[in-house]
Amino acid sequence: MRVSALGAYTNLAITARTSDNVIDDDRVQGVSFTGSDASGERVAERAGRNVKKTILELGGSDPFVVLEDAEMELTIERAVFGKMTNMGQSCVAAKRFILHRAIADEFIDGFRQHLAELKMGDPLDETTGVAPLSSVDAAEKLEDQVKRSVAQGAQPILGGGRPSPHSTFFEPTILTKVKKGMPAYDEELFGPVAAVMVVPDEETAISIANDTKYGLGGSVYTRDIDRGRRVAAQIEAGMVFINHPAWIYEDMPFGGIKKSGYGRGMWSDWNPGVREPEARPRALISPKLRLQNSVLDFASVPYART
Amino acid sequence: MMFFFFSTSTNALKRHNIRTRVTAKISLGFGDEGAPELSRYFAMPTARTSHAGRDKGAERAVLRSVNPYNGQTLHTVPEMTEEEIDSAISKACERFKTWRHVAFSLRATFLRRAAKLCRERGEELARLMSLEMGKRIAEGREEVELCAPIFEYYADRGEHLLAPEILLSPLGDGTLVKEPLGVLFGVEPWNYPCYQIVRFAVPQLMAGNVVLMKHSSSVQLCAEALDKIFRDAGFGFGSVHEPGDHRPHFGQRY
Repeated sequence: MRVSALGAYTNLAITARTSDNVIDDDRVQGVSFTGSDASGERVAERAGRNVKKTILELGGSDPFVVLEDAEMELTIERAVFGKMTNMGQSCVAAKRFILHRAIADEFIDGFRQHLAELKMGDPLDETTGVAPLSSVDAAEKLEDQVKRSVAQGAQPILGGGRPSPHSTFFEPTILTKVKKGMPAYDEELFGPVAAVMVVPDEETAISIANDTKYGLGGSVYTRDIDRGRRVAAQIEAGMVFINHPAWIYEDMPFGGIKKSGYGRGMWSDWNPGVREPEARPRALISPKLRLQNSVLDFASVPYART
Repeated sequence: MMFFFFSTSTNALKRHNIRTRVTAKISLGFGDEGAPELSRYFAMPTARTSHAGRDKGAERAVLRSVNPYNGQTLHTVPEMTEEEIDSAISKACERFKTWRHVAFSLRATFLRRAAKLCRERGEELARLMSLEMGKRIAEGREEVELCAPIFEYYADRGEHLLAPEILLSPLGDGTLVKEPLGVLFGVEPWNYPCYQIVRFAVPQLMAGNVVLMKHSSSVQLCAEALDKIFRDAGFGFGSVHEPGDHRPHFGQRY
């Protein structure tokens, strides 16, 4: 066998429309899709018609739950990371900030200060804090979601729109008084917009965290790790972290439940439990392995041979 | 978050003939005093350029990278023809027949080589991500640092993860074996142009599957750079869109 002549990876320069034909092709055994809900539904439907295996990783509206005993400085720092990483254009970006009323003002003040300091600019410039969104359409869609939320009573206490009518840039934005029925509550906001909700207790925080069609990631902030685990266990999502926004590790299965999709993007023999990565001494991670039905997904065809 | 700096590799950018914009450093705040200048400056990317579509009269659709910072078109690729796609799928099926029998140790060698190339070309990958989808350069470097360990993790652990399991049943001792499925199709988005590809392709390649990858229309420079990493690492023929390809419109670049 001439190993050097093997080619196991092939790039296809095709549009979304053409990819339907590839899904239909009987020679193709499975499809892994990451992207928008609407496209994911089409891929799943197409693959389903062909009885073809799929992994879907779609949208998310990750809750960022801050309990009254959270360490505030750390929590605010993590909130800035969770919201501004990739300009919020991440399926596991922190999207809904659910704050216990005892610490809501302190959190919002600190969060606002940090976001307000970020400068817009060229993504290639090292000092840039706010880069453009991926396209004019993306910025326009986000602006529309914010406008509709504000029209329904949400209050922008920072930012709220684009610096000019046709810009790809979007200001870091904090929306307070977000309620059910608003796009900021019900839809995924794919950009630097934080939807804030203030709650009287832990129980309400959990119920709002779960009041979404999505179930990708989520995080809980508390000094009491046992409490964090208890709350995390009640959040309906594929990956819930304690004191850190949901994030990616090479040895951790990645994926969601509900409308966020199914299957896992990576597989591993990851030991369920709590791990403390060196780089983030206080980030405790608790992926919800109990919610996974298939860790190995596509990687294998398990069958028994006697 | 930790990341490492690498020597800058501008070769790829030269190859793609990308002129990196040199802009005066700007630092605009959100205060009222900055507002007029801000709106003037950031009004620039007004052009709404579609990332995929068919121009009037054109035979084939075009995939297009547009820099979201300044609205300039960076790169266009004509969509593959039906025949080309068909041939790519056929080749992939052929490759699966041999790839599935390649030893884990050799697959791991290819993956480790890819991790090394990924790190060596980290600066180039980060710049391409900034140009094509606006990722801040530091975050691009972090993304590359997220990808390289994925290659290494599956190189190191893949064989163990896929090891057969013994099943004790009343009928007799059984073995649960984990075998590859065949040709898999990945459809990945623009938001993490490197990570999304790597996290799907790497475990599958280690498991003996063969991967066809459709990257987002808007990040085809990243798609090509990653394709080259897989090819150079030993994964084989790679893209059907080779430079020097005889098709007349290939390589129309800004």
